[in-house]
Amino acid sequence: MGDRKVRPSGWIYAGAALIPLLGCLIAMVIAHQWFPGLPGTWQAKMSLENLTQVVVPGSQDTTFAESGAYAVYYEYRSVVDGVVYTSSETPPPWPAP
Amino acid sequence: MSDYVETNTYATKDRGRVGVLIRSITIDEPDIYTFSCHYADGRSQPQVVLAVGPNFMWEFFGIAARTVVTAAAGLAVLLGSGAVAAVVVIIVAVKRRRGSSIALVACLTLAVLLIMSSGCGPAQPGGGQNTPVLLSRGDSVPRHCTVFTVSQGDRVFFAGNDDWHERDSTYWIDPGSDTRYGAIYFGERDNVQQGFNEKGLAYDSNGLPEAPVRSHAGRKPVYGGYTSYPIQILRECATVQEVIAWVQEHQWHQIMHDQLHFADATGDAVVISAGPDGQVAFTRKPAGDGFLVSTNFNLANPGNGSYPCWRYARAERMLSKIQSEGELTTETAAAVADAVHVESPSGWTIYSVVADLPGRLVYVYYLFQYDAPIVLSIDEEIARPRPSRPLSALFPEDTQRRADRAYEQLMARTARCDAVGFTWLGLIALSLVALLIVGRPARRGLIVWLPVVVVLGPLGLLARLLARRFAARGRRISAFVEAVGDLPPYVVGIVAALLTVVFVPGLMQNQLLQLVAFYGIPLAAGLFLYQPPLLARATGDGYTRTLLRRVPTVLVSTNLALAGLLAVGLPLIQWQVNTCGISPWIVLAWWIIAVLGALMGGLLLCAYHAWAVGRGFTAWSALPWRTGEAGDGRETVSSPPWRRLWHWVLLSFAVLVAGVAVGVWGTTLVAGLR
Repeated sequence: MGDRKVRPSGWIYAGAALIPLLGCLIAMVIAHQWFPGLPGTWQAKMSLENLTQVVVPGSQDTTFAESGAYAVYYEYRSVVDGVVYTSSETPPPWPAP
Repeated sequence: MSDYVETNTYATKDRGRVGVLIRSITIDEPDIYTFSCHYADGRSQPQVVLAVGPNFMWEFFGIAARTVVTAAAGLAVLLGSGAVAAVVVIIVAVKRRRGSSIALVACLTLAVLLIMSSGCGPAQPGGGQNTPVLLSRGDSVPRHCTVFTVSQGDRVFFAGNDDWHERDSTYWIDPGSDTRYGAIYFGERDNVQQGFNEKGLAYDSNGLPEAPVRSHAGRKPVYGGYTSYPIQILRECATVQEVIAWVQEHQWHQIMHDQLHFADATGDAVVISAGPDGQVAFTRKPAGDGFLVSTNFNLANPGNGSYPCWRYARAERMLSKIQSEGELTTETAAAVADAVHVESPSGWTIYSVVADLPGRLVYVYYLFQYDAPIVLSIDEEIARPRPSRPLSALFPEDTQRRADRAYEQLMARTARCDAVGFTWLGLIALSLVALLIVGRPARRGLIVWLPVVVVLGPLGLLARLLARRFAARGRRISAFVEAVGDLPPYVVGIVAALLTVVFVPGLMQNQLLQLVAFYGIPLAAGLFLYQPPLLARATGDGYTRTLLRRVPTVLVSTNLALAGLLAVGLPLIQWQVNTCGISPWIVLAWWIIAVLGALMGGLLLCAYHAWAVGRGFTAWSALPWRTGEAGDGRETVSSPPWRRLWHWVLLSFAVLVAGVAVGVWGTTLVAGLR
């Protein structure tokens, strides 16, 4: 057997050129899993419409569709049913839990 | 105060609602709970408002973490694949001992791919409504609306389209009292879009870029946020004259981001906006018969907003044809609203209202179902107020189903357009393979044809085949090859410029920066990243020397290529955005359009290169086939100096201006197409 070196085929260049195309496709698939729905998710999760407003003193039914962390906010500027409420920026005293 | 942190707040844009976190709670069992809160001493005043719901801080961190992880994963795959390809090419090139030219070409190809793929990931910030000013001057402002008042004799109609990218809206009633007029409202509770009070006073508004205005701090204060102003006006005023007096008596905003359109039952109407002098401006409807239209440019200062606007022009044209009382009916007013409604996956007319103000009747059309309105009597609605509800719930089920179908068809357009884009990506890959298998250009020829095929796809491959087939035709085919060889950086550059304008905050509303992007990026791509590196490598000259020699040629080719690209591409991109909306893969559609535009740019370049080749100035054509495939092209690549090219430089700028003008004119033609 001789020791002639085997030169790699030029076809490998074509194969190499396709790798980034494949990478782009995979990246697009990854992005597709999340980004198209991102504005909708943002809007759905961060919308003030998700808050149930309660005029105090008073009570209001509210639905918690999932278990987890929720919050109570004090709205010192607010509009409820077209009525504008403005109060002190410091919340009134809150009873200890 | 448990969990109270002064800075942990939320607010609406107009600060009409501002809340601060005072308590975190944990819900273990999903259910309906009654939230009850009273003063310990049993008093009933002062009333304050609490809000219960999601913990926005946690929600924000959750979304941000998911976004960062997804973007990082996509980027890692993209860069990783590029790196793997580069390593493969370098290793093979070294083992084949064919020098570094192929490695250079492969690296440039990878760079092109990476630039093009930069639009694969990010979704458009802001919900996909915006498009570049150059492309869509009439549609570049968030929250479109078309509003008009028209009167003939005793008939007065007020109409408004609410154009946005939400599926539904809200309807609610303020029954009024002894001290305030009752009214019905459409929009969101903290952002009223339209209102009609019991006296027949109507309100709507058009979104505009922010403009400062004098607030007159010494006047009567107004309590509440930005959008409480129209509510308070509808509570207190019965006529347009009273509205104007109210505005002149009260403190106004320091900044306006819309213009307010009021009309009354007598046919009087006014648009209130920020004037060019910083004062509140009142644009009045002519007395008597006539009309007043407002869209998304400031009537008192058209530079504030998107002027010209096809919706304004079309509404004005249709309303001017109504010349008698008999011609002015609910149907004719609804036909105008229909003609200017918006129907794109990135923004649509959620609903239209047409109000007969003397009759105090409001016709409501949901999701451009103009043949199925509901009619609301303002008097009856106020007399028997019903609870706030989604607007769609007012409509019969049949209309809701039809609206659902219309919405689904609208959204399906984006998927179809994405499929075309993926097909294009496949064609690029096939063309590349075909070039390497069938075309089999020599090493020097690859310098020209690999970028051409990677960027122009099947059209680049076709150009390669034509160049080979008609190689014997001398100058004409040389000019053709020169033109085709010039095009890749301009296609890549224009797509990169579009992505820059759309995704970089602040560029959307700045025409000067947009012009810099649309000219500067393709010019820089051609001058620094494409011609000098490739030609220097092929000829053996240095990069800097080649760059300096190519400056005049690149200037001419940039101008001519962009002239064709923009003349054809701008209207096509406007049409594409209208038809397909904005998707994460919009880059693929823009790529196709840029290639189509490059056909026109190529024709203009052919004219220049026919002149240049005739005088012995050749570059790309010298490499692949005249001498390059069999011999050495070093002595045949030559660039015309400034003194030989100055008239072409001047002419090319004139052609570029003409190309931009044609493109902008074309966008106005397709702007209203659905």
